[in-house]
Amino acid sequence: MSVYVQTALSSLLTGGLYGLMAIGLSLSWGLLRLANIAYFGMIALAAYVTYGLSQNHGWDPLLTVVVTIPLFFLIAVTIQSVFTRFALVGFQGMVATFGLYTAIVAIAQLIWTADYRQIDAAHNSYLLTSWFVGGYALRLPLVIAFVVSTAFVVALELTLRRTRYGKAMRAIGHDRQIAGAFGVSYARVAAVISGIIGGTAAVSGTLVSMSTSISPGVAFSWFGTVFVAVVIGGPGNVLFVFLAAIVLTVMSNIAGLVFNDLGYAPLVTFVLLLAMLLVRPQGLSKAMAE
Amino acid sequence: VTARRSLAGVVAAGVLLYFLPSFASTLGLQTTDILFLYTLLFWITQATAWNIFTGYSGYFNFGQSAFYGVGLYASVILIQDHGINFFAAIPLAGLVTGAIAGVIAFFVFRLREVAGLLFALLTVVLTFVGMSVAQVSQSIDGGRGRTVNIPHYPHFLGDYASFIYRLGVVMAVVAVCISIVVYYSKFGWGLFAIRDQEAVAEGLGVPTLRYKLLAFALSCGIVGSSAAIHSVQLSYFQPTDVFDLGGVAIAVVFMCIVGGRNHWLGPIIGAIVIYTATSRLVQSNLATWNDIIRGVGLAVVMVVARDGIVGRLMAQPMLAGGVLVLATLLAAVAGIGGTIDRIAVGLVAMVVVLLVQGALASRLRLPAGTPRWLGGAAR
Repeated sequence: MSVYVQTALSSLLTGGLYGLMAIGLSLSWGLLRLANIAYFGMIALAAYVTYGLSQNHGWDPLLTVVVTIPLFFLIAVTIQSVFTRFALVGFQGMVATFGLYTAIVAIAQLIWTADYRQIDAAHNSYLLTSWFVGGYALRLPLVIAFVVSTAFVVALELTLRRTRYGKAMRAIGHDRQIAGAFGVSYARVAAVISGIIGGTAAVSGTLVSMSTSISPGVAFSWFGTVFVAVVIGGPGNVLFVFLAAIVLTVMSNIAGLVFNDLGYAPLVTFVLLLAMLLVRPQGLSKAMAE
Repeated sequence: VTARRSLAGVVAAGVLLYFLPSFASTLGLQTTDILFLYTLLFWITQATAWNIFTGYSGYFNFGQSAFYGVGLYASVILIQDHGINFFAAIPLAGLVTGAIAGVIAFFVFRLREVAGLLFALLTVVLTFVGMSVAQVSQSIDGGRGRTVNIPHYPHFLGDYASFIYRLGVVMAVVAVCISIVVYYSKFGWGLFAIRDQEAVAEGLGVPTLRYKLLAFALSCGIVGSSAAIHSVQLSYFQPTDVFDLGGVAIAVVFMCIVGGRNHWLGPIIGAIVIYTATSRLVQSNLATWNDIIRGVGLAVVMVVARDGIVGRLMAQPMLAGGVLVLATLLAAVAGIGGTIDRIAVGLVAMVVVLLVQGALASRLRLPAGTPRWLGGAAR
């Protein structure tokens, strides 16, 4: 029994990190109508930047966000301005981001080779620390990841719900033309949204780098959970997507444990998605209809 | 009439290609050249198969690697674990792949109003699901990888290179013929209607669900059969190489978009240009650069030439042919590499000229009387 509780607790913490990643895809898909695959590449790149700064320059990995957030904010805004300029949305945009993703993976491989990399814990002993709660171990980096993710999500949710600018962002997601008629500049608001997405990628990458080892293709393994979480939570949604990612991670890991192999976890996620599509299509498709 | 002429042309080309190895020594072809041609035919098959679904129906499939993997593993399991003959396993692997594709697509496509983005992202996820299942399941792979031996085959097929090459020819001819038949049939028109305006197509009585499922199963079935043949050429593979977004999936997307998705010839042209050009990079140990060029190239092509070169090629066949021959000859005079390198230079030059010419012709206001090969209006 205790092994199940332990798995559930660890998955809960990891799920928070997946939830943070899912937010970026959710905003991109729901508000900008761009299923941005390159976003996953940005997370991986951010993870490498954190790794590089920490490993070669002795930075505290958590501190590297002062570099990664502005850096990926700028990268994302630049890419978005090109996409806006050439009206790359829907399939066209997705193909372009698909190409960029594979290019990013190849570039990462060129710079950092295909080896698995992990931040050396010798100078950052807290990366190896675990807290014990009632006999269950909670890895400190995962706890940090969970807390930071939750804080980020709450801040973002409040921004979207309570501020005027957040309203403009949601308006663009609902109807770009009508939002324009009410004086919302698509190019400008889209740039800010993409900047937030870039920032999300940066924070996710930094947290990933702290809690696990990374390789150029690491982003590939996040697709499943993140995508299904966005589908269940509804593209454009923040809080529901975050929660869906946590629930999904816990469920699929527990199921993997039941099947005696965590390798089955992605299959469980996928079957859950098909079941959702079968049982509750209307709730899903409402959020999905373009 | 056009359909019949196209089919006859493809079959005739297939027959010529089939007998090519018999005259290899006369033509000065090496074994490596035959294998190069085989791989080119493999890519033509894969790209054509992808286009039957994505090009015709407009729904994007980014998960061709997943179905390629299913085909590879289905054939290996049938042959090695169930003692099925290699030649019987080729169509069977296609059937298995097509059936799996049809079932998965059914879950998505029965939701009529769901946006195509959902399907597109789902195919990305499928690749990862396929990989993790193959990794953990001992009866599929279990992470050890699979070794494929050269099967027994009749003598008239010749040595190994001729054998695999001839299978490749037959497979490519079958795939292209299916693509042509679909292109000119009522089924094909239905798919084009779905691509243009699905709701209208539905209203006009196109059985959209059935057509989408059928097109996807057909496309993936061809992918599976082609993978079964290719397993022999690979000789060893493991889940991580096969279920790779950067592998078959992106290659076919790139080929079809460069070639053009609206015509059955597009994927063939795209496969020839892209494979010939990039195989040179891979040969010079620049495989990673190949991935970078392909990825960035795909993004750039989406901006500058979404419809591919097939339309411009058919409008300007003389210009295209002229540039191809001229650039190839120039490369030969300059003494660049071998024959294939020179043709690669010629093909790339042809694509660039067609794209630049098309872009200029549409931007500039050309004076009346400009010759057609410079982009002037047709008389």
